[in-house]
Amino acid sequence: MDPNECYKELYCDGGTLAEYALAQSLKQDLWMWYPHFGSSVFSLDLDQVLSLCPTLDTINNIAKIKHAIVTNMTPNDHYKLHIDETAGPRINMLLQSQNSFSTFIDVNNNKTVHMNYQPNKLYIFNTQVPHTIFNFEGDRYLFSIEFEEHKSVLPYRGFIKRLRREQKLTGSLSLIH
Amino acid sequence: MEPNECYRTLYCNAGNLAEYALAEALSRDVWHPYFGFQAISLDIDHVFSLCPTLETINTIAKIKGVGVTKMLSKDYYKLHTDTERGVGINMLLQHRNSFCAYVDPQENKTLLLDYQSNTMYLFNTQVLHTVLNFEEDRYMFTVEFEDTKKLLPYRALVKMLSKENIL
Repeated sequence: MDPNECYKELYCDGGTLAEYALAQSLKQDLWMWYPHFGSSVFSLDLDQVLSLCPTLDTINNIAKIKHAIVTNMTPNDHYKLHIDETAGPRINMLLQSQNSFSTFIDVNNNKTVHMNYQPNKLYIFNTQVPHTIFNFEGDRYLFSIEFEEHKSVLPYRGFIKRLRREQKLTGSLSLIH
Repeated sequence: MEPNECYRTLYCNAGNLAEYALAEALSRDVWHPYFGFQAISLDIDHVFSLCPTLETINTIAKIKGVGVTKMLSKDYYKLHTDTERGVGINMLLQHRNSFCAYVDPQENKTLLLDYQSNTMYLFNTQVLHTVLNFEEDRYMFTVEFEDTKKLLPYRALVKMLSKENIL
């Protein structure tokens, strides 16, 4: 499996955003979270998110962001092997985890690629490669961006191309390798 | 998920056995396919001499063979239950960033088998489990019993070994 076909790291320090998103997650009342495919989710204020992370603001001009959310998995939760229904790429950042794994799987060749989230780093995540999550310990919080466009209009590769084109046009913009 | 229904720790220090098994694994060139892994057989008498607990277990449930399985870096062993084995004994010898997890697909729950060094585990192969190996080769010492899952299910062996204070 080619890791570049599964995820790409964004050039951007997501530290301030991560701090904000985690703080919001930890202070939310239970009723603010809604169930979403086996995990719990709540929406963040998108304007606040874009103000804390100018890179996402730039990306919002390239591909319209639908919403920014945080997903929570409780200890021993498992998100089965799947591809997302509507999303092509997402942008993810792990906010808190004690012992969890997100991994891409090539089911035909029995191979795997570990999505090894680093702190305060945002990743473009190809939701159309089968992936699964194991959370063995503690609550796991993940920041995630979903785009307006359906996967058929905005596939992972198409999104990467758009970012590259924009980088080329502006010259000074640095989003991805 | 109830950990005791998935695995049990065996009361015995298997340090000498682990050292021998890993040395053998690292010195062998010829490996054989074994249920999706690669495997080598170990000399059972030598294994018993290094680990008398296994010799005792052999008098309770006949051991068919002992060996080491190898999983290559980036390999994925999909969610499954074993086709023939009901129960096995496993000990992780060497790895770098891998895990074995049980899964309850109805409840979307998981349980990590958090292998500790030099420790053997009775492994319930009839609970759905998967193995993911992200980095480097993963070596596992494994024991296979003569009796298959119908004659020797996990719970039956747990009972027998508990009576002998092995669990």
